[in-house]
Amino acid sequence: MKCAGIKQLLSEYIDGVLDAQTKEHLEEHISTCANCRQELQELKALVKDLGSLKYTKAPDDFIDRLHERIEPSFSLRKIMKTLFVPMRIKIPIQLVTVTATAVLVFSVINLQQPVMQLSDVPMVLEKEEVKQEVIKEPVKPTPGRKIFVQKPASTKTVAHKKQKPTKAKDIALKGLKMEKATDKKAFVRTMQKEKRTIELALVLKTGELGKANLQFAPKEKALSPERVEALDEESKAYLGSSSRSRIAGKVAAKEEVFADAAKKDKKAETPLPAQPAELKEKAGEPELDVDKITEKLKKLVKDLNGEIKSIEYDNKQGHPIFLTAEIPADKYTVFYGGLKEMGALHGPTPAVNENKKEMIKIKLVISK
Amino acid sequence: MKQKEKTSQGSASEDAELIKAFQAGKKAAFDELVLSHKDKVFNLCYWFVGDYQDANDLAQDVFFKAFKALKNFRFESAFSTWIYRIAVNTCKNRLKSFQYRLKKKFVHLNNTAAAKNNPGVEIADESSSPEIELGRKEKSRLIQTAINSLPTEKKAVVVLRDIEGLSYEEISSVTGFNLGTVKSKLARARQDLREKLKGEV
Repeated sequence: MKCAGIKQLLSEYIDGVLDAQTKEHLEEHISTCANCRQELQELKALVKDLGSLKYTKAPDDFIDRLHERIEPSFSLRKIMKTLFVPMRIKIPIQLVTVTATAVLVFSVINLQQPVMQLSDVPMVLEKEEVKQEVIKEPVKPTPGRKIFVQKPASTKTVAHKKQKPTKAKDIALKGLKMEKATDKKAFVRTMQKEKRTIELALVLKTGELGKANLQFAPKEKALSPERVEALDEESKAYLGSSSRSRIAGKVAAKEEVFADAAKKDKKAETPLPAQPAELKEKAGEPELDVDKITEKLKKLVKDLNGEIKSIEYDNKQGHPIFLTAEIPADKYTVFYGGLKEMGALHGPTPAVNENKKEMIKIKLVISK
Repeated sequence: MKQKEKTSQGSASEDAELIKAFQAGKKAAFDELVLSHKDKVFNLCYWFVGDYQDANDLAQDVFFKAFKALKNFRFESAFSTWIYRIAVNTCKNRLKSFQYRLKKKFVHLNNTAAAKNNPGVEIADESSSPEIELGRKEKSRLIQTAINSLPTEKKAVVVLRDIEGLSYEEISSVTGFNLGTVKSKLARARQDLREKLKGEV
């Protein structure tokens, strides 16, 4: 074995961990190699020196100092831990809570601001405002559709009606319900002023519109039963909400009627997709289809000596979506029947004893 | 001397009993463990970092860590091995820390000239002769400097073996090196020290 190999083993030789054979071999080498013998001596001396180094002891106050560090963890640190470590977790949660509350309060205040402003409006101005409300009252705040009922509002009646509830209203204005309250009042006034308004919803027949759809909106396929149902629900919901604002008493009865009508219509519609031959033929000329509906409605109203007040058209497909008209009260039965031919109709069924001379206002919502 | 230290440190079975007592809620048992192990831990720290105050802080850290971890002690090794392992890791981390390196550099720049004449650390000693005492201190300082210059792993092995007197197996257990690595690292560390101290000691 060469010196390099021997030198690597010297350390183990000093510690006496070499196996007998290697040890013998090493000793044999050392006896002949002065260089390695020298190194062994030096290493032995080093190990001895290292072993005889003064044992550096810990200071006397070592354990006291340690106690100072440990004991707080028995008492103070434990308290600190239970108090502040969970706090560290709590703080973000509290922060979140605080932030959420702040955002909520801020948004509520912001939302309330218009209401507050309304309540601050002087009395004279308030009259004006109510008047406006009556004139431009959104019928159905559906996004994308702008529908406004145009009613000739008589300022006198409004002003007259107003006088009484002003004080009570002042109190009511304070709360959030204020807006709804005024809405209701406006409705009540409208009802009294205009004698009678009948709201109707017409869901156009599937067969007819299916074709119209294919022509005008190729993406949207023929109405599925689900879609019809959804629309039914929609119109029902709409009617429900508007009827809520009507005079109490009528409401319950009407809603029942709506429900019945809806059921009937669904039954009549789904199993019988086949329409009268006449309708089918007309539907065969799709360009005329949209106008057809309008034309039909106009004709219907005209035939009954009625007057069309306004028609709103859908922006995309161009078919009428909202119609207001005035017809003689005794012609309502005919009008109702005429509409029913066009599709599923939701609205109050004609009563038997109609006052002939009275004009009734019809609000018709048309959907597909 | 090493032998004397070892016997005064108590046996592994005594340690195990004390740990069990501590885990059972007898906090005073920890004090006994500290008393029987503090010096060897302190000595290791001292030779590892070469500064008495640093060694004191480190040894405190070691026992504080041990105190926090002792309730989870699973008797997979002897307490002494376990505490050495904590000590070696604590010292290694200290040497690695930026703060320590900065301090070392700063002290080095300021004390290069002064250090030669100043042994730095005052170690209580009951030696009789002042000459012997002086020579010993000088030797100790030289060895300290040589050890300090070793890389951390070699330093750990040589301190554990030649200063703390641990067996190869114990060193393997403390450092996590296998036996062969311990042997080779120790051999090289000794060689390095021999060369560094050649002609000085």
